[in-house]
Amino acid sequence: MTTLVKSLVTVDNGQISIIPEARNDVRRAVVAFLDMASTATGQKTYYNTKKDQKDAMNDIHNAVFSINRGLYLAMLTLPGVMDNSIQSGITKIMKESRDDSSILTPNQEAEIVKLVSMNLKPTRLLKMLRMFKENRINKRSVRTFILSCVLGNKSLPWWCLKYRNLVKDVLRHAWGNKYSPVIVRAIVSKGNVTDKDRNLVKKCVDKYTKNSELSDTDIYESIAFAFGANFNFTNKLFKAFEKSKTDISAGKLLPPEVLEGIRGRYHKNTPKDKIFELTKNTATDKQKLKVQRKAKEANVEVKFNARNLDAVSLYVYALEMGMNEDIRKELDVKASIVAKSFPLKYDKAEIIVDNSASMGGTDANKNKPLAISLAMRDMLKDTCSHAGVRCTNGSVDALGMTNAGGDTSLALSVAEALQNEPDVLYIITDGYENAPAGRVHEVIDATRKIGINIPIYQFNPVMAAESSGVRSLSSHLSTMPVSKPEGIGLSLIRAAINQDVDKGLQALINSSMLRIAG
Amino acid sequence: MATLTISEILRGCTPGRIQSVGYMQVIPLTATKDMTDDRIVSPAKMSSMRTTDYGSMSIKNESDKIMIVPSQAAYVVKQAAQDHALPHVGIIGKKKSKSFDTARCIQENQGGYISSGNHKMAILPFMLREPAHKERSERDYSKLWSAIRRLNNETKAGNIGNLVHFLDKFKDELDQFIAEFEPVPNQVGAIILINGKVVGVERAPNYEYWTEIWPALIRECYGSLALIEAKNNNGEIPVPKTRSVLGEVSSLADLAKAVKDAESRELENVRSVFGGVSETEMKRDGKDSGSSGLTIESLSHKRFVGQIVREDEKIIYGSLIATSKWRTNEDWYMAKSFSL
Repeated sequence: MTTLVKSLVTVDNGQISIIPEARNDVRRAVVAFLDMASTATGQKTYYNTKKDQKDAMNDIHNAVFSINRGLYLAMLTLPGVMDNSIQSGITKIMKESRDDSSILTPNQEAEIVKLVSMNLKPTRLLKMLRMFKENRINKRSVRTFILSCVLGNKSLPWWCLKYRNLVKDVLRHAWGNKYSPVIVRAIVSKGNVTDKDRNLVKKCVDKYTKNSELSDTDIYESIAFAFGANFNFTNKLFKAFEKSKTDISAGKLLPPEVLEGIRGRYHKNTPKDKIFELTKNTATDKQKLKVQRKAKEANVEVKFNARNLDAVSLYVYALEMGMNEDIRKELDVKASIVAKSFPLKYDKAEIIVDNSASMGGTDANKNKPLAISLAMRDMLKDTCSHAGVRCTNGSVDALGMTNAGGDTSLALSVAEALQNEPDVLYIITDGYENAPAGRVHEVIDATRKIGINIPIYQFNPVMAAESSGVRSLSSHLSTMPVSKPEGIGLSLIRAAINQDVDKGLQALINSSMLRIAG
Repeated sequence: MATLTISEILRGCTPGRIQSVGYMQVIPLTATKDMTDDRIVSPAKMSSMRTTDYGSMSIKNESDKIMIVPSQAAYVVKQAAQDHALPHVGIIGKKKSKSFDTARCIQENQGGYISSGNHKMAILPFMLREPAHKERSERDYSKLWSAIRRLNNETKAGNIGNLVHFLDKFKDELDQFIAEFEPVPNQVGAIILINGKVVGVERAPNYEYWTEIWPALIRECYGSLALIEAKNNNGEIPVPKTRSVLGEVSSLADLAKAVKDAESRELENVRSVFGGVSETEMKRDGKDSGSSGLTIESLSHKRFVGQIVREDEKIIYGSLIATSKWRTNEDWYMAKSFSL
């Protein structure tokens, strides 16, 4: 990927302008970023290794950052940008010094950094803060940011329990190796410290916890716990942690993975299934969803609330464990909510879902491509008055389920769908057509030649920053990557940029500013 | 019977819809339960492999089923050890270990033995399979080095007999083949065509076995041949001779029919090509070895060479590849005799 010179994009009175000769480079770089940001998890996929993913992502990040720092940051606020891209993006922003070419003011930049960081899940936020350490970013502003994020958070004790090493790592990075043990010692000694040490605690801890909902005791004990200090804890979580080492049933308050760790070390004879039962109330709904198979095998009922889970997760669950009417209802509600914000509205739509073998994903993300496709199908169905839906391989049951398997023969489905004379055709596929490759293009080409010019969109349910971009079935259609229906807005901005890079970028900045404004 | 035809090897199989990407076309072969054999497993999951000397490979079958090691299975490991391949099929009894002293080293410039583990299995690239097959009974670990050197030279992957150089250089392209060709339900085999010519015929004992060996077959074995053929095509978009294009369409009502017609024409094209080889009478070169009531037998003809595993006359496994001589002269062999 080409590295571009600064600054190819400027803003004046809110109006974006791009250096004319750089338009194509800017479009290419921004589109590649949107593809990657909306899909890449950094995990290996059916098609790419983890290293391929990382290299591709780094190139793409660098290319957009070099266009304009402010534009790069604004892009991180878009709905549908994956956490992985936010982590890398904020780390880059923290690492690189600001210059005057940014299209955002320093305040706007700070607002965005705070907004997107605080929207990350705790583990991802902490991992991002640890990335600062790995990248040797240790400016004063970065240290302040880390300490505010961690010490000022009302869930600090819970974080310390769940992510003990992560919290310790990031605090140690912010305080430095020299002062960290002094601070912990000062906290543990409960006031029996020198004025110098007390001042250090004030400067490095108290300064960041002024507005915290937690008591000083809870904050200090959290720090002591994170650093593994020998302490007589009064906080109920840390007490439960210590007690559960001798009495596993005292660990009911602990997160399942923490209690499982204690079981593995101190209660080797206690069966794993006991942990499901003990932590039924502390597990997140996502955790409850993940243990369903094990729980079923162990004959333990672990209920989860489908409302708190996203459509893709629910489909992944249903594809493995089976669909039921409650989950179906929740999926319908979720689809109808997302459909309301979908900008394209047509009366009559045809939707094709590719459910060939490759849509079954890999062992690491089993069924995820198909889950994304089915969630997209539900949403697209709700955007029009009449929708015809067909799967390429086999039928759909009464609860809307189908399985992945077989070859990818899309052309006949496309031909049959077009014969119904829809206003729009949506094809949800990974783009790997093989029965035979290129036939869909021939069909659409023939359709265009007889004067049928309805819009045709291809949505690629991918989880990868594929080195060569997402696969398109035909040059006649718009291809958009998607990892969750909620992120489809990002794909539409992408389509707009592809058509007119100036207008598309303007839409992108406007969307970002609206988000900052709340 | 002194001969065996491909039709007989594929007895009980049904052809599925042709998959066609670039130069390669695959006809999936499916079979019903009564035509498969669930007593057999592949080495993919339940085996551990190690080398005990250069040219000696030991495989332990940890399952309680009979294991058939597919033809020309190769082990490319990340250890600082010499990667090895078997030049023939192997049979290992339930929960038994077997040592093969006919193994080939496929890394000329690497020393060391592979330590025991469930290593990922590959299949030798197509261009190495025939030379490996020809001298399958000889005990000489260096027998494949010259063929690997030739392959690396031809593909500009270096001039050392180290297969890893080829596999590393074309890693991305080879990976694509796995994504492009998908197994279908009940599949137990495939007929593989490259540029409209049959280059391989594969039959596995059952569906699970097939899904376990298919990635290695499509990636390293046939993928490598498609890759080389495409490169020889001077960068033009490869379309095999047997691929048919969509006919004229004058209204939307014609579309689906046009797609079906194109599919039928393609099937006819491939059927005609396959018809030319299906009744090839392959010489049975005699029993190579066997155990657990199964027999390994080698087959040869100027068109194809390969091995089968049978129980009495029932074919359980088969792997045949087109010979280089045939592939070079196929157009001549297939041309009509002169007549006025």
